[in-house]
Amino acid sequence: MFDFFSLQFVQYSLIAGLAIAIAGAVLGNFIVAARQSFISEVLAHTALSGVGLGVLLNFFPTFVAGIVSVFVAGLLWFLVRGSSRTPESVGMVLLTGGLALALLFAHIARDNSISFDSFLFGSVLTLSFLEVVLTVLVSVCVLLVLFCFWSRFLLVVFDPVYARTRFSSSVFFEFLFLFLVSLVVSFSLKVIGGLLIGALFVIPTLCAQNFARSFRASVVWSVLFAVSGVFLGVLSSYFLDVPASSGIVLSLILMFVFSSVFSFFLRSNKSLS
Amino acid sequence: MSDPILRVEHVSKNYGDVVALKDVSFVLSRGEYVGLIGPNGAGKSTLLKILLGIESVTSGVFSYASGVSVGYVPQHYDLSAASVLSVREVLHMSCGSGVDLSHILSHVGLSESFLSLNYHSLSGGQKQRVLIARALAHSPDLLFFDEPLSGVDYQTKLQIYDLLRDINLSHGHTILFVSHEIEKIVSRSDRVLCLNESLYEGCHPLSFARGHKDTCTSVGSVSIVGPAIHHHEHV
Repeated sequence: MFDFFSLQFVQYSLIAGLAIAIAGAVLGNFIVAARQSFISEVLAHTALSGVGLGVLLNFFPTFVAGIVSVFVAGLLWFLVRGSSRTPESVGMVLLTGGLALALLFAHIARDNSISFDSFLFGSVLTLSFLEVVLTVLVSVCVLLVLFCFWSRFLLVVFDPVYARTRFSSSVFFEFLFLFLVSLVVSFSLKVIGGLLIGALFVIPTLCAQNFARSFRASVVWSVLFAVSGVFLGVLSSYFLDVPASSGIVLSLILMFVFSSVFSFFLRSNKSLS
Repeated sequence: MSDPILRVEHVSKNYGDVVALKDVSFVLSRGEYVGLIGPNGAGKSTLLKILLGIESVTSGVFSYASGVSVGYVPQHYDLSAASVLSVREVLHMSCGSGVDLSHILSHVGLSESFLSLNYHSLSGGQKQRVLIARALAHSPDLLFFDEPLSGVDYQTKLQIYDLLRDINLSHGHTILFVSHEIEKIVSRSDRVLCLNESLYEGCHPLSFARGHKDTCTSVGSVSIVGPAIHHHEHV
């Protein structure tokens, strides 16, 4: 086990994975509670078109994915705001459009040396030093912004109409929230994969809600579940020779099943007593 | 009328060809408790949304006295999506951490022990009290209530109507209360505004609600219209 932790690629994957797990889990609580779980999927799938473009241009795909993801976040916000269109329907257009573009770019750049698959399904064990540093930096910045304006984000996400009556800056915070999600999503691509990102945002929160009675408690619990999921995923990848992303997602789903069963018995006992 | 806190002048709102508000003018004075009644589709919620900055006006202007802060308790608001929020977190949405939340809760008849409870686990009346406390938490001068008691049982309704009148009298908050419950509003308000696209003056609220507006004069509009239910066809 000691050898395992001394390996550089394991250290890199754990550091980046844990950073993304914490930022994703905290954001996930806002996303799930506001019933906007699809947003992480929309941003992730459209970010893949940015990856495709990055691969095509041979220029740092995560960075291009970040720009595309932020642009799409703005587009989604603009198209839904004040319109009778539901966010889900507009999101579906962007999601499928993003994937179609990603496929197109990846096809054109099929002879390029950068692997598109590593962004589709994640490749946490192959992260470079620069990618790890940037991932940690982005996660820390996102968490700092969230904690500095915690109540404001709470209001904007849970009750946007009331928020607009209360603060004139609420529209800015609505967009800022999407901006933060798109940043974490684009830096999660290589950690867990564009097709699996939703798991890292949503499942830890669902596990946490089996126990938590307040939002703060839910955030703490979800971070613990997300960190455990990433840790188990990397561990299983090394020792069982399974893809790390599969390990992470399946660990999280197992935790969700066990925590739901445990919570069910806990509630049954309480109601009996 | 002394010390105006809100002045609304000739406000109209159209959604395409549909007239939602027509030439509405009124003034709220500091410390007043004013009821706003009118049939469904009369423009009550639209008027509040305009005053709260959620909707824009088609024409006309409105202005608050300088430094006035506004609180709002919405219609049919349900934080069910927020099943994990504690009462403390719901209140913190509206104010900073320096505010004494137990003191705020005491204004709406809830004890400090409610702060740690899950908002979702409360009864309908308790939820509504928490939302009123949320609106009070940042000490607004003017409070808007948009039919906030639909779905609350009769006894709790009476208690909350009385509670709001108490808050108005003891803390001096100006209140504009939109409601369908004419008797309850009339008995607790300083005055009642009757709205059906335009504002009407000289109405008895009950006869207005029943559609007998032939004794009413449209304020700021030359037309005197027939029963409310046929109003759109006459215009």
